[in-house]
Amino acid sequence: MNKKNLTILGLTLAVAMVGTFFFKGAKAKSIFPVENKTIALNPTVEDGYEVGDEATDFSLKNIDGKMVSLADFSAAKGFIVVFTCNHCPFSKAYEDRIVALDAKYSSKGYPVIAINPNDPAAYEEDSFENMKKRAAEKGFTYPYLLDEKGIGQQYGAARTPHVFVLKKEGGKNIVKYIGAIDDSAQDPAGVSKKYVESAVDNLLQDKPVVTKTTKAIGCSIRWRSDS
Amino acid sequence: MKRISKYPFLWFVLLCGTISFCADAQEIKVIRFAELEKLISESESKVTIVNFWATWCKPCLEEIPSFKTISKKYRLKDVNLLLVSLDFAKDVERVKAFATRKDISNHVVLLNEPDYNSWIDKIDPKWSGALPATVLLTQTGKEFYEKKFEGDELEKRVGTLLNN
Repeated sequence: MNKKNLTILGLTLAVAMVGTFFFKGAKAKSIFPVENKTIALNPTVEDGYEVGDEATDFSLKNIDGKMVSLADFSAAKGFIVVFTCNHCPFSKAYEDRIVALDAKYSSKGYPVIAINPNDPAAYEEDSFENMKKRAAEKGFTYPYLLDEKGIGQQYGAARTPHVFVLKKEGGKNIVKYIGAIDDSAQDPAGVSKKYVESAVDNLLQDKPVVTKTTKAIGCSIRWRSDS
Repeated sequence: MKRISKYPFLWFVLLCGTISFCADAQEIKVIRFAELEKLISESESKVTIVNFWATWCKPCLEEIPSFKTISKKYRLKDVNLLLVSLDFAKDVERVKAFATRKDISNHVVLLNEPDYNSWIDKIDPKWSGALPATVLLTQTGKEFYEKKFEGDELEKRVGTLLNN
């Protein structure tokens, strides 16, 4: 390599570096223009329940092999239905908080009902055997049901974990809150808004739920092909 | 070699160039939502692809090769690819290892904005928060997809948007 080539190489690199570090687009446009096409949306999101809808009861297999229905809980005032699973890091991050929710609200009439909507064929970790194992390891105090009947799709669960707080009204289970457990999945110490607790606290005092829906990042659900 | 030693400046340039190149290939920026907004709004490409993914998300990892193919096929002036990881910030090393292995580091940022409810609707009101999700942004419009792209579906769509 002669001196001239080396100089050219050096200069090119220098220009490239300066460009990388200092070049910023001069023209800024608004983050998202008005026109907005939403295509091929996850169909469950639009087909699922909204706050105020009546939620269906179900009969799903619990980790102890027995079938569980909402109707079995005659003393309950309502339910904290959580669509969750074993494999999802967000579900894992919330396991202890779901156990705490059941400890706090089951005796007050709002037991936790956990449902795994994932197809175990897609995620081995979400198999019935592994559900049993995880429940024992973490000491789940509530039913952990295998959704073989597409109940998650009917509710409109879009991700795990996804919570539906139901209240019994005139023999029906009415949806009162849909969304996240709180506002800090990755760090329980960083929680400032406990969405599910606020909702249930209000319901227990016969007050309206203030924050009725929230969103959170979560794992998409792989539905069973037969459901 | 003797010759280059006479030019300390060139050594400096070469060294800096090497370091900045390596740094580009490996370090993953951890950003807040305001910085993501800035990255998107400053993109001048005809089509800006903003894909939300995570290393734990199986369908996300399955579609990443198709994103890479597209970004390699076009120049930045046509297509800008932003791969926004929603891994927890503490897992940035895992993101870095994956991105380096897949040679996508220069497209990847990790979005650390844990109050998800505060910004998901700003990306799209139709987004449930499930991953993967993708925004295709042109100078005149925006398309939002909460799904995994199959086969050459994304490539075809981007091609159509570029020809409009």
